[in-house]
Order: sequence, then structure tokens, then C-alpha cells
Amino acid sequence: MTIVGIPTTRVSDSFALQRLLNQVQLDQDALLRLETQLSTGHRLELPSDDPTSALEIIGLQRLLERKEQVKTNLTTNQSYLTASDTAISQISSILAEVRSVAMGAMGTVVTDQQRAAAAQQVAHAVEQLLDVGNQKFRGRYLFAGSTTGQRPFEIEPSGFVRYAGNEGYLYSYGDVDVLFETNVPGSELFGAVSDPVRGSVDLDPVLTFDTRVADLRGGQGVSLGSIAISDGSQTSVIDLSGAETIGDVAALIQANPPEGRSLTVEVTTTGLVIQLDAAPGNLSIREADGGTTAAELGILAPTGVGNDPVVGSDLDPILRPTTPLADLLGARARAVVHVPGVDNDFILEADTRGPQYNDVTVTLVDDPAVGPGNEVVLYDAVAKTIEIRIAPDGTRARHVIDAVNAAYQLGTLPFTARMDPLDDDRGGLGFVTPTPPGETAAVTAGGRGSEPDLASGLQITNGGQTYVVELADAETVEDLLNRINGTGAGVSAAINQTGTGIDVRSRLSGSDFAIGENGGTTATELGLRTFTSETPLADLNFGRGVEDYQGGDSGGIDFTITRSDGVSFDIDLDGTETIGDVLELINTHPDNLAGGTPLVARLATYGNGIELVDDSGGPGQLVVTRAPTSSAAVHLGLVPEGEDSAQVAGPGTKILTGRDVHPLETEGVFTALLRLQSALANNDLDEMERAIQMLDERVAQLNLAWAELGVRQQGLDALQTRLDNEEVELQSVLSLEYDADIVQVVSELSARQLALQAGLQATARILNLTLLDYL
Amino acid sequence: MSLYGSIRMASNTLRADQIVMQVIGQNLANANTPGYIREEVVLAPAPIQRMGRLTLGLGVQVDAVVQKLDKFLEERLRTAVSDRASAERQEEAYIELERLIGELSETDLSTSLNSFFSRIADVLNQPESVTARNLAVLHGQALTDDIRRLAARVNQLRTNLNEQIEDAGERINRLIEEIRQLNVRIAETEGGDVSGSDAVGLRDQRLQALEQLAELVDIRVEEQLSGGVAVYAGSDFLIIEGMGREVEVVMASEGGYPRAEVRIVATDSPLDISAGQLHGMIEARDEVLTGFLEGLDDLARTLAFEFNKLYSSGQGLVGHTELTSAFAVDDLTLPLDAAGLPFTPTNGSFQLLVRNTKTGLVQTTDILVDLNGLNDELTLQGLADALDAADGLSAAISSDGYLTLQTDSPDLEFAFADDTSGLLAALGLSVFFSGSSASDLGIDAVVRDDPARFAASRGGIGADTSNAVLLANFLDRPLDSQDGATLAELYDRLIGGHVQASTIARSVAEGTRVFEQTLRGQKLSTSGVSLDEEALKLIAHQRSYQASARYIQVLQGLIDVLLNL
Repeated sequence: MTIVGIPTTRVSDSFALQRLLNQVQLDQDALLRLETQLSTGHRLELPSDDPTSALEIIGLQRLLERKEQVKTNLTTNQSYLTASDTAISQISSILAEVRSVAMGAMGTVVTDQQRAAAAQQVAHAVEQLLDVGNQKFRGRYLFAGSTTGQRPFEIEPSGFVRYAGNEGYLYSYGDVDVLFETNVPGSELFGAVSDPVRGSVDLDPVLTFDTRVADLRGGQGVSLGSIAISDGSQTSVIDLSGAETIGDVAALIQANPPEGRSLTVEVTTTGLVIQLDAAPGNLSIREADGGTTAAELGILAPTGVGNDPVVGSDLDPILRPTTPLADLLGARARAVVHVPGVDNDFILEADTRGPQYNDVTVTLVDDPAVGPGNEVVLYDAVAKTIEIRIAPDGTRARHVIDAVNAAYQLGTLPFTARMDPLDDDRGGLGFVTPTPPGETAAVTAGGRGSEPDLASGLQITNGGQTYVVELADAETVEDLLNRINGTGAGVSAAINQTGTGIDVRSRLSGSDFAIGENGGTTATELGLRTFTSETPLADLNFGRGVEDYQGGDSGGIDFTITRSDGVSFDIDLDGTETIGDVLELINTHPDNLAGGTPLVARLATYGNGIELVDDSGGPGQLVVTRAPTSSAAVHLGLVPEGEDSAQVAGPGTKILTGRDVHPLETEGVFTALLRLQSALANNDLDEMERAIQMLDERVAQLNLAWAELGVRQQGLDALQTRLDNEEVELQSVLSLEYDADIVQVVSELSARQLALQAGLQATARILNLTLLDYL
Repeated sequence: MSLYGSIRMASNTLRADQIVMQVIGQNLANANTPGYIREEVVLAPAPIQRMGRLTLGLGVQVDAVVQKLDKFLEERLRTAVSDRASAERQEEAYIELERLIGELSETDLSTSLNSFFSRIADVLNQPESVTARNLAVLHGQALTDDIRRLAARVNQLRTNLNEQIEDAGERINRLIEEIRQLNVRIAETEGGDVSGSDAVGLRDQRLQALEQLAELVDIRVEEQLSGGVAVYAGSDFLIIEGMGREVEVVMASEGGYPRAEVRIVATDSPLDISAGQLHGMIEARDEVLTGFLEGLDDLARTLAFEFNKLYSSGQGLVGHTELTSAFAVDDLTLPLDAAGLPFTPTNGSFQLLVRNTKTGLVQTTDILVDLNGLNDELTLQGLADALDAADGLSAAISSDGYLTLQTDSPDLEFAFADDTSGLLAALGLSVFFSGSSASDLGIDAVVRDDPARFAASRGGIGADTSNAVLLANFLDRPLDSQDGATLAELYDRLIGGHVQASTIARSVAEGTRVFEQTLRGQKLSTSGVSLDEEALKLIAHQRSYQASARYIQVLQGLIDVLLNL
């Protein structure tokens, strides 16, 4: 409020009164405002009193409110980390104790009773560790990964320890935008999950119409923006940002050709193919917004390709749970038959994977003898041609598709047909026209790989049992994973990090773990077999390898194979490095090939191990005998432990199957202790040493995890300190903006009070003065 | 010229002085009457008399009693009153609204927002605890209650304004009638331009009525020769002489908000105004309150849709066994982005996860949401078919356009993941917030009844807390629908915009108040009674009266002299 000025003309009584009234009101208003500041302690009553400060205060208040929550986060999670820390120190001391017990029981002078007592102590330690591993703190299982409601460690009836948690981390906010991990998964701490059986095979899913853009380029996706397509004179800018699938991308490109032209787009098994219509022009594709869309889609062609198609590079989609198994391991040859007009393009696709159906030419030929609905498809496997005889008028795309599929059903054609989704308007009602003489309608391409065997399934051995995984009716990758995960074998299968294949891991500690074949090649094709030709001999028997005897009287012979026809030959493993080398050595041994049907060494068709197949047909029996100086035959699994030779069950049996000598295991605390326990029971010094070595590795790992946890706790402490400082800082800024300056308010108050008093006095005096007194 | 003539002249003087005394008395009596216009007697020398070669004055004559009034000032004052009334009305609305929002206090909306997101951060601290999830749901409920309550109260303010506008309509009619009648009476009293005097009391009344009318609507006043005034609002006249036009208040609706509108009955057109209380109320209603409500609606919609978009890609500790969409489509055969959903989905995809609770195995189905603007756009029927085709799940559409999902076996549960289309949020499937505006925002019944379904996980049912990590930081997440602005920014913009506008409105109101006061001061200076001035006049005329009386006495003496000859 302001006091209005005094007009120069004339002062009337009512004006004087009005003005004095205003002044008194002004003073009282100011006094009340000051009083409000005093009673609330705040400088502002409403934000609009000082909008700049008010907005800053709103921001500060929000920040403080959020920092308050961050404080709760830090305190709560410090308590979890401290509890974890305590648990780890317990584990550490239990392990130290076990180690000293085990070392004490390893000497040669140790009695059976002492060893039994030691084994007892190890068993006890396992129980203690289970208790610690299953520790619950504030309602949370500390070591169950991110599934904190799940009891992580269970002991199986077989004595093996199963980890039921996961490998996930939990996070909380340590500041407004800082995340920190609040747990240590049991898998990491105890080593409760094995390394994955990681296939070297890239399952290489094919690109389909429905492949999501985000899944391309090995999972990096494509950052979609706009691209510019030109025919040399006209340019069309296409915004692809709304596309979800590569089919969307293809459809959007096809729907937006340069003005006056048309584009045909194909989604091949690896990428995009874009072709301009037949009129002269120079097809070029550029980025339209400075982005990398065209480059990432592999169709960047800035200088143009003339009338040739732009053939996109391999878009390399990743594996997803919903990827059909039919789209893995190779691709089927196919051709998109483009016919002038709409709703009449169709796709021919081979029924099996592989290059054998590439380069088949497709032609459409008029045949007056044919009426619409009874088109004829002729396939010549030698000349590699498909001739589709159509009615001179009246054959629709749908008729052709029916005819192709009918021929496929009859077995006269290894191809099926379907509409091209990019030209599917009303299901193929468009008419097809014959191919001009001397030209072809389309040529098949893109076939690669070979038909895999996914039907026979695989065998998983874990926890002392073998489980058969049937895959005959599995349709998707997820079906496959579910079949494996649902066996109860204590394994977990998942798509690997890079999205190229499948990882299988064991969650059982203390047990051998292997994946083998079930009569076919499924495990090998999926890259999951644990015992393959490439397996190095040095890795066998838990890394103890295979003994290769050198020198001596027998000249380094390791073992001898005697066929049923009496032919026998000595095997010397010199120079062999992998299982494949050993198999080849046997299969190509000159004595084996010298006469009669040679014996065949191969990988077992069921499960794992080396299999010797003897078709020589003699009266004897197939025998493998170890050289007295070499344990190689035992180490290769051909001769049982503690025996000198192995032979088939009877004269009629032709196949000798060896043991799987390359089982995997979960390298962790529990495995080390359980192995140690059984080694003590069996007085197996080698195994004891191996177990103690594993234990030492785990202790080192544990210490690492422990140290990492300590660093994390320290980090939280630092965050906490910083937060406290920040809070003080923020509060002081807030106070500066928001709180009333009491000294200032009080002095203003007294000043105002004086002003009011003076005003009142002056008013009284002015009003008292009047001429009427002098009348 | 005779002595008697002189006595008559003196008696005229006495009468004139008496009239002046009367007027001074009137002025003194009304010194404190609000709106009173000081009167003044216009004295003039009386006409002369020719006597031979001489012209003699005949004393004084009272020409008129007039009001001391500056008519231009009066017009300016009325304009200032209109402006001040409008500005004050808006200022009032801003301040009321500011108090409702209560920002800077501990009970404002930003506190509710923060505490809701804080509770989600607590879910991160205790993912296994259903209580923590329940607290998040309860705080979400409190937040939506706060938003709804704020919207309801602002709506109440709007309703009040509509009622006040109706009331203003009546007052306008009353004033028009009053001025019209005064016009007639003033013309009668003054007899047109014949008498020089003003019909003082009546004119005072009319001035006051005009000022009252000006306080309601900005008017233009033109004085007529007859003494009557013509009053215009914009280009329409309200009063001419003895004729007045009535106004009426009709209720209309704009953008779903009811609006009372003042119209002239005779022309059936809205009153053309740009200031005055009525204008202030309309501005307060349509700009201040409706503007804020729209902003609040936008905030609520953004919160609901964007939060739900994130939320619906997550999974709870347990899955769903049955679920019904919160929103219905109007037409099953239309693409879902044109089927009448409150939110618009885009081209994208999501995943359906069906989990067997006995084995823990999950069956994933990709659902492509084809809305790329080309052929084969996804309809609700298409979506239902795609979901129904998944093993273990049945999807159906109710007759009123809602999608219902149910598992085929009690051992199965389902959830959704990785929705890039926003379709789940648009349909209200597996969402957190229900509703699509500030007035119907709430918590979805599914999560309210079973907080264990709070979707904290992204890695599968009950698997992790990665969705809660995103949700807890939602306030700072750049949002597509807001061109990358965050919800916190959106809120700041809403409040900040309001506060800035409020500050401006306050200073505008203050400015108009000062201006009005200044003009009023000027008016009081001209038209107000000064007691001292009146006392001076009193003395002067007392003296002149005494002198005239003395003069008569002297003349009488002269006559006596003559009579005694």
C-alpha cells in the first residue's frame, strides 16, 4: 500500500480524513505483517510475496525431503551390510578351522579314526555354513540374491547343497541419483553356482518380419531417426522413429518412396534389401537428421547404387525367449516373388535349412490349359527351377500360394509359400501375371547352415542322477530353457549375456555335472555338450588331465585295444591334445585299418564318454587293456578305476562305452567341503589336495568379496557424512531464504509502531484545528 | 431610484446571504456524507437600472446552486474504479488459490509427491516386505486424494464465482433501473436546461449509482442535454434517458467446466466488458482457476500415464490371476490409438509372462502393438485374440468394451513386461494409478487390495527390484510426453507460473488501487467540504448580512428623517 499524494488545488476535510485513515491502515497492515513474521518465523506468508525466493524455497524443501529419505536408505542398508559383514567373518573363521583340520588329516601317519573325526568336523562345518548362508536379518535372507524371500541354501537328500537364490543385486538410492548395491548374493560369496556351460556355437537367429529393432546389432538396437531416400532427383524423408519391428521399418520405407517412384523392400534372413522400380534412377540412402539410422540399419548408400538394390548388412538379431527354434542354426533359402500390382507378392521358402535350395529360379508361365484354382507347380531339382503355370487370366496370388502348398503336401516340392506381409492387403486377391520370356520372377537365396537335430534332446547329469530333456515339441527358445530348468536337475538355463547362445549352470554344490547327448546331436548343436572332440585332455578329471607315459620298454605305449576278430593295436598318446586327437589316433591306427572292419572310436551317442564300436565280427570280445606303466586308459574313462582292462559284456556286444571323465562342478565353498568330506572318507589324497586348493581359492574370493563389502560400507559412511554436511548447507540456505530475520523484524516493528503513534497524534492534532473555534 | 428601492436591494442581499447560509449549512451538514458533492451558490450582480444618464446596480442576485464537480475527473474515476475492481477480484482469486495450494507449508502437494516416491525408495530397502509395498500404495492414495481434493476445492471456487456472477447480474439490473429512474427525475426536477441549478441530491445519488455500476462493469457515461445520462458497456447501451436494458445470467459449459455468462436480454449477446468486478470474476474463473485446473489435470494425467507406462512393464511379488482393463474402448474394430481410450498408445510391443507357480517356469509371449499407421492396425479384438492365443490365459471383451484376462488354471499367474507401446497403461491393465484427470485420479483397485502385486521387479515375478529403482526416481525422469521435462519440472512450472502470475496480479491490483485513490483524492479536493472554508464563507456572509441589515437601518433612518420633516 502506498499513501496517495496531496493534490495541489485544495484540501477538503474529507480528503484529510481519508488520507489519515489510509495512513493508519497502512501502518496497521504493516504491523500485522511483521507480527505474522514473528509468530511464524517465516519471511513469506504466501509464495507470491517473493516469487523468486518462493520457487527457490520450494526446490530446497523438495531436496531436503528427498535427502531425508536418502538418510533412511543409508541407515537401513548399512544395517544389512553390517549383518552381511558379520556373517562373512563367521564364514571366514569356519573355513580357516576346516582347513587346519583337513591339513592335519592329510599326513600318511593319520589313522582312519582321525580321518573319520576330521570328516565329521567337515560335515559339521557344512551345517554351520548352511546356517550362516540362510541367515535372515530384518525379514530378509541376506544371501539369496534379489529374491530375498527365498531361503537360499537347501541340503538335498543326496547330500548335495542346492542354491535356490539368484545372482541378482538389490539397489537403493545413496543420493538423489546415486544407486548402491545393498546385498552380496550367495552365489558370489559361496560360489554356489557353477560357471556356465558356454557353447562356442552362435545360434544365430534369422531376421524375421517381427524381429524387434531393439534386438538388432547384437542387442545394441538401432537408434531410429529419419532417413532420406532419393532416386537421383526426388527425395523422400522417412521418419522411422515409431518403428518397433524390422517389418515396421520395411513397411514404412516401402510406403514412402521418392515422389513418382516405387520401392520394393524385402526382409531377408539377415537384413534389408531395397530396390527402386525399373525406370532409370540412382537409388541413394542417406541420414536425414544427422543421426546414424541408415548406417545402423546397414542400408547407408550415400553415393547411390544406380538401379541395383541396396543390400543391407547383417543385422545380427539376438536370441530372445520367444525366438522360435525353427529360426535358429541356419536359414532356409527363400525368394520374394514381386508381381506388378498390389496384394499379389508372395514368398517361397524352402522347408529345410541349408544352401542346397539357393539359386532356384522361379518363373510364372501362362498356360491356357490351367484355370484359376488349379494352377500347376513344376519343380526340377537338377535344373533348380520352379515353374508355376497360371491361368492366362484369373489367377490370383492366393491361388498360387495354395498350389505351392499343395505341391509341398504332395512331396513334389520342397518349398512352401505365403503372402509377403509388405504387400498383403486382403490376403492375396491381386492377380498374378506371367514372367516375361527370358526373365525370372525371382531366385532363391539366403539358405545357410544345415538342418539341426533338436528332436533327440539331451541328457543332463547332476546330483548323481541323469535327466533326459525331451525337446521334440519345444517350439521356442523359452520352451527349451523351461525343459532344461524343469528337469529338477538343479541346473538353470538362460540366454547368455551376448544373446548368441544358451548358458546352463549348475546350482548344486558337491556334485558332478555334465550335459551329454540323448542319441542325437542336440547338445553339440546347441553348444551345450560338456564332453566334445575339442575338449583338451588336460582338462579331464577336474583338470588333472591324462597321463601320457613316455619311454620305457613298451616305447611309451599307454593302452592296447583288442578287437573281437583278434586284431589288437597299441595306442601311444604322444602328441594328442584333445579328445578328438585320441579318437582320430584310434580310428586311423594302421593296425586298425590293416584288415577286417576297422574299429570306430567316437563320442558316446547317449550321455558322454568315449565309445568304441567294434564291427569286426570275430569270435572274441572287444578289450581295452592299460599298459602297466600308464593310467591313460583309466584317465580317458575306457578302463574303470582300479582295473587293468575293460571288455564288453559278452561276445555279442559290439560297443564299449567309457565313463564321462570331464564332469564339471560348482567351484565353491560347499563343493570344496563336500569333496573334502568324501575324500577323507575314501582316503583319497589327490582329491583332498584338490579340495583344499579349491577351498583356498574360495577363501581368496571370499576375502575379495569381504574387502569389497568393506569398501562399500566405507562409501556409505562417506555418503552419510556428505549428506549430513549437505543438509546443514541446504538448511542454512533455506533459512536464509525463508526464515524471518528476527532482529530486523523487531526493529522494523518498533519503527512502525512509532510511525503509527506519530501518525495518530498528528491526526488528532490536525482534526482539532478548526476555524469554527474562532467564530 | 428610491430609498425603498435601496431597501429592496438590501433585502435581496439579505435573502441571498440567507440562501448562502442555507447552502453552507447544507455543506456543513454533509461534510462527512460519503459521496456528497459540495455545493456552491452562484452569486451575480443583479441587472442594472438606467436612471437618466446613470446605470445603477440593483444589488446581488442568486443565479444558481451548483455542485462543485469535475465531470472529466468523474469519468476517469469510474474507469479507475472498474480497473481496480477487476484487478482486485483477480488478486483475490490468486491469493485464495495460493492458500489452497498451500505451497511452502508441510501439507502441500509437493510434500505428498515426495513422500510417495520416498515410500517407493523404501520398497528398495525392504523388497520382501509387503508392508513397505502397502505403505507405498497408501502414500500413493494420499497423493491422489490430495490432488483430487485440490481439484475439488478449486472447482468449488469456480462454482462460487459462477454464483457471484449470477448475483452481479442482479445487481447490474438493479443499478440500471435505479439510474434510469434517476435520469427521469433529474430531468423533471431540472426542467432540462432551463434552470441553472442542479438537482443536487438526485445527482449525488446517480453519481453513486454510476460508480457502483462502474465497479461491476466498465461503463462509458455521456451526459445528455436533458440532464439524463446515457450509459454504454462496450458498444451496447445499457441506459439512454428513461430507457434501460436488462441483463440475464445464463449457464453455459466450456471444456467441461460450467460458466455463468451475463447477456443483454434485448440483443441476446454477451455483455462486452473489459474491466469491473464482473470482468475480474470471469477472468479469475476462466484464466486463473480454469488455467490452474488444466495445469493440474495435465500434471495428474502425466503422472498417471507416464508412471503407469513404467509401472506396467514391471511385475509384483505375485502375479495376476485375473485382470480387467480400467478403460473401455468405444469401438472394437478401430485401431487402439483411435478407439477412444483416455491415453494414446503408440506403435510398439509388450510381453505377456505366464508363470506356473508350482514349477516356477515362465512362458513368454510377444504381443506386437501394430499402430504404425499402415495396414493391419491392432484393435482391441486383435489384442484379445493375441492374448487369448497364449497358453494358459483366456482373454475376453465385455459387452461394454472392457478387456478381461483370466488364467486357465489356479496354478498359473500372469504379468506383463517390456511395454514399449504404452498400451497397458492406456488400457489400464496392471497399472498403479487409475483415472485420467485431477478429479478422478486414484489407485488401481488391484494393487490397493493386494499390495504384494506392487510391480517392483522387471526380471520376472518377484525376481528383483529394478522397476522400483526406476519408479523411485520417477520425479527426475525425462518424460516423452513432456518433451523431456520431468514431473518435478512440470510441477514447478505449474506452481511457479501460478506464483508469478499471482505476484503480477497483486502488483497490478496495487497499482490500480493507488491510481483510484489518487483520483479520489483529487475528487475529494474539488468536491469535498472544507469546514474552514465554509466557516470563512460563513463569516464573510455574516458580515455582509450585518452590513446589509445596517444599511437598511441607515436607510430607515433616512426615511424617518424624511417622515419627520
